[in-house]
Amino acid sequence: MEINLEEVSVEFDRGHSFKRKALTGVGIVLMEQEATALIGPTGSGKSTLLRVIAGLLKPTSGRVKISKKSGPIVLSIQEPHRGFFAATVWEEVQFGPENQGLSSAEISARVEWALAAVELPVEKWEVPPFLLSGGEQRRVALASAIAMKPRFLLLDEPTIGLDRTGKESLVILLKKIRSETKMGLLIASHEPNFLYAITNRVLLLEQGVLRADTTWGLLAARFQPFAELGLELPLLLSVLLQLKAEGAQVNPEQNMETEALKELRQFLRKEREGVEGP
Amino acid sequence: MGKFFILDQVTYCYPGSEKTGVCQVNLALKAGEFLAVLGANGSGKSTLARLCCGLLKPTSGQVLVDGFSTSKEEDLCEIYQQVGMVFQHPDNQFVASTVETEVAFGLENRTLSSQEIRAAVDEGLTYFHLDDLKTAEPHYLSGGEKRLLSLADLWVLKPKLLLLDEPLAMLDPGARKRINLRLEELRAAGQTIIWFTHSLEEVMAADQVMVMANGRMVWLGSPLELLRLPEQARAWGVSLPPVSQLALDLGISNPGLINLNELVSEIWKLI
Repeated sequence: MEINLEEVSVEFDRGHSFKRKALTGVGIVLMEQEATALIGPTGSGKSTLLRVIAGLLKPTSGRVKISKKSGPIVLSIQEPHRGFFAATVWEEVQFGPENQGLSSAEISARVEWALAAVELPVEKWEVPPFLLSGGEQRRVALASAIAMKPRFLLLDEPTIGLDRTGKESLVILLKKIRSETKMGLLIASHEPNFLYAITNRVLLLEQGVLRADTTWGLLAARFQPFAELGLELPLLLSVLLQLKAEGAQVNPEQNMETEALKELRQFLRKEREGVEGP
Repeated sequence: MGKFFILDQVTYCYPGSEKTGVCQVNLALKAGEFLAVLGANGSGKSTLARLCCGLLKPTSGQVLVDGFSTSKEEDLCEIYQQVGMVFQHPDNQFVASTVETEVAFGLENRTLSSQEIRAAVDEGLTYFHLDDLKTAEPHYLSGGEKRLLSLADLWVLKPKLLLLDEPLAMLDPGARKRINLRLEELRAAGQTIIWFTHSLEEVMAADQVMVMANGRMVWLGSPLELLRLPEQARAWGVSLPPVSQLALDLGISNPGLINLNELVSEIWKLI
């Protein structure tokens, strides 16, 4: 499955004197199995882009082509719990699969799998979702999305309101689901450290224009102009860059968090053992 | 006397729930103090925030703002004038159809002249970089812009106590810095602030940090003291600053690190 955006532009005109170009001529190809980060300053068009890909918003011009469609594209919106409407958590998560024409046994199996996958305790499955804490509501929202077995999952600021444990388990959960289902992932977030743990490709939007379609490693190598936009690199990449600037023999062009950590540890070990002098 | 804001044995049980949302919390703040309330999801932070502004009434104990009690009906009007709360989800507090009328709404209910309202609205819009969006509909703003708007709404009312529930969520680092600068200025001007979050990094400038777990206050001290208890902080579900977290992961024994330069120089020292 492949999602192809061709020259996509979106202009909002809400009847007031307020008009705004949310996206301008965006071209992207997204492949299944890829995990991609979507970054950019507040108001740069990230949420709009996700809504266009999900088919919730029609581009003012340009088009979105989906080829070899093999399953749904599911968007988990910002503050997804705001869309809760069901009387219990179970019914909330059930709603998506129910509308996919599945058997009731399959629906139950999907709901159970999804709720277990997000590690929501069983005693909360029959509780009204509105009574859960903010972090628990996020888990329910994520369960609702993955219960539809998407081929592409689009997440808009999934870490808002999550504490450290919540973020860590979200990383583990998303990695697990991806290894099980091979679904494509596109995540918009302001948290580079969270994104770096899951994604390797990066799309960077500024005022509705796609300024970069690259990897974390290459982004680190030419980050200066983006720092001026108020963006930050993942901490590990910043550490490697600074060490290199201070004369260390390290390679900051690391596309994955695990590789960057390995590079940093290796540097420490080599230097300690005195294999290479500074 | 001398304490502007007092939590006295505050307990709150949600109706129909056996679990207490907040349990016997005691605290006293002087005017101008900056308190951070930290804790994991579900630890009772947002419930406590709602108790502090009078949206919830304690099941037992009392909340006093400048001597007025949130449990007394006749005191509430005064408390609502003095306390401003920025909610975790900005959409919950928007009432108007454009950004400028949204900022004006609170002022219109304060018996001000239209010139005064106009001047205050313009000042608020400029202060939070919302000038270009003044005719936009609040619900069509981006997440971060909504956050700025919710802060502007309250800022123009000049509340004596400002409650912030996860105010930096959804903001990019640039916008976070802008908001932090604004909040620093407010504090310098004597603003009393209570900031609810799970991220220690956001509140390193706080005078005091209170940690909550299971609805109870489990720790009270300075941000630096908490930084020196990394294992404990993690167990309470507090997010350490990423730099401190990485330092721990690398086995660096100085847990007081908070910025990149400090971390890199500690890394060199390891060698």
